[in-house]
Amino acid sequence: MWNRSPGLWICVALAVGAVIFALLATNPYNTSLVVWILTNAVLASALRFVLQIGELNIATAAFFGIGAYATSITAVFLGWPFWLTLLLAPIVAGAFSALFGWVTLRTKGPYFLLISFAVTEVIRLIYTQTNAIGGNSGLIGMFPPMAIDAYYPALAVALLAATLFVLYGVERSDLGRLFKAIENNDAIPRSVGLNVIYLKVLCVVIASAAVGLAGGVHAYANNVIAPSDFTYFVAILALAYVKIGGEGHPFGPVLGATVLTLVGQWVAGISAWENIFYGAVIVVTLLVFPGGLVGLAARARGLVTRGAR
Amino acid sequence: MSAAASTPAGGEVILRAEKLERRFGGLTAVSDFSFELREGEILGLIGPNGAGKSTTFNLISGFIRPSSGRLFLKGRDITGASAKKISRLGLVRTFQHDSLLSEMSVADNILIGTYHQRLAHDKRMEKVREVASMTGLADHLETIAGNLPHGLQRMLSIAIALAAEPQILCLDEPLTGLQGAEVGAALDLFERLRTKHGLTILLVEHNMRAVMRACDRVIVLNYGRLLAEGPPEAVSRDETVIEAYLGRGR
Ligand SMILES: Nc1ncnc2c1ncn2[C@@H]1O[C@H](COP(=O)(O)OP(=O)(O)O)[C@@H](O)[C@H]1O
Ligand SMILES: [Mg+2]
Repeated sequence: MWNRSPGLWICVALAVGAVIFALLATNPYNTSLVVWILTNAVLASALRFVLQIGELNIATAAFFGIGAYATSITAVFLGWPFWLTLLLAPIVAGAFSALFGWVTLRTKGPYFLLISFAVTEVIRLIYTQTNAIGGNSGLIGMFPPMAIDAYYPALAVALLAATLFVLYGVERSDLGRLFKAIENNDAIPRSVGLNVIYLKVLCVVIASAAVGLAGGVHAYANNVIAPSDFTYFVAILALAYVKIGGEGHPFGPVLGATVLTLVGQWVAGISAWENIFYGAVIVVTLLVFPGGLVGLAARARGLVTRGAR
Repeated sequence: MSAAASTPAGGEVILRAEKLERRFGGLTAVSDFSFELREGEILGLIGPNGAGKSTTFNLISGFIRPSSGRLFLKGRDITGASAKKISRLGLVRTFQHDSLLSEMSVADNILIGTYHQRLAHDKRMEKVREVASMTGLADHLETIAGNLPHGLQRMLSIAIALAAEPQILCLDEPLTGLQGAEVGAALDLFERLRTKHGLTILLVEHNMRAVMRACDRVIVLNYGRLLAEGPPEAVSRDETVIEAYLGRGR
């Protein structure tokens, strides 16, 4: 495999570099852009994490929102300590996703996709209809404590990067092998005494805890959240990051999120065209290089090593 | 509790089905089917296509529930028990089709069979190598299962089941598509599993020569019902059995 440990060390170096950048950069636009890129990377990686068991989980967007709301509600209304509110984000998102998964993961494929879509939109509607948590306009006023405020972008980047490494670690563990087996042919793990539903729920819970934490981090980074931040479209964008970066490798979604978030800054000026642009990029990517950017890099590497012989 | 009936063909009754029935909508796939599997025997389950053999496997392994009837494994009532529970009680089955993880390596396929128990990684790999060498897969551990030759794919499906350390191994047409020498090797493996590892085997198979050679006893299903039961030679000469196989085209 072309990515064994050198690739992992490069990723560690990239993560450390991003943290240092967030620490040193003086322009707040740049620091919040790095946080936003890593947030998108976690969303995309979590979406891909559930793709391991063969399911496209639109509710990735919902659990991002639940994490953000859990942190915001406890911070703004209850005045709980910063760290506790952040810790709550993955726990609450994970708990909700366990319930969600237990009920919905008995379905598969298009059925699961549609249910996860519906759940996402229902939860968003609940936010808009609940005036106690700000209704349509959402919540405002989530600030990190003074002592941390200046370093918050670096802290956010560190937490998000750590989350990515955890997802990677699980994928490479025995558990990751089981997820892949379920996707490949779930009758086999079932026949050798494994509880497939439980494993599928576990997969969704891990991914949802990851996006839940990203939601909590996002709440403090943005200081304001609204229901419209957590529509199904968040998951569609995450899918675009996965497809463009490359689904076959854990670094794919990180690369895709980075490239598309940067490009997105540039096309945001032509707002009406933004979605058309994303759509076009996805279609072209899937047609021209279905392995995504990572697949393209692997192929280029193959050409180089073959040429060197 | 099952009666501890001792017979020449095997030891005590280890699996017992009582008046098993399974309906799919209007179709009755298995009906009034009672049989016993005795410890240490190789029992053949034969019958024409659509007779209900695979459905029987799905029933005894907990993949589907019987519409009525009861199942006892080692004296325990396992009627309606989950596939997980039954597998962990020692009954592991293979599948007629797609009985492996085609996109994963041979080693990963066999590893999946070891996850029912907590083990250190080294111990797991030891188990994988042991099972792989028993099934002739030792030189193919890194091969993607879908790229294996057909004969080795059939052996891999048995290897996955063996990694789960069953007492009862239920094989659904494991010899389909095997070449002459491969059939012999597979039958030798079954015999070794029985004598050396003390396994009890329930074998669904269309290859009658192989059934005659491997099985101590044979039961015959036809239209979901028990048609005949006895030693292979007797069953293969049974008029009603010959009629069932030949007259199926009506
Ligand atoms: N899940 C199912 N739904 C509906 N009918 C089924 C199902 N499984 C098996 N059957 C039917 O039950 C009968 C027995 O099938 P099966 O057990 O596969 O036979 P065999 O393995 O002996 O060839 C067939 O008519 C088959 O079409
Ligand atoms: Mg069959």
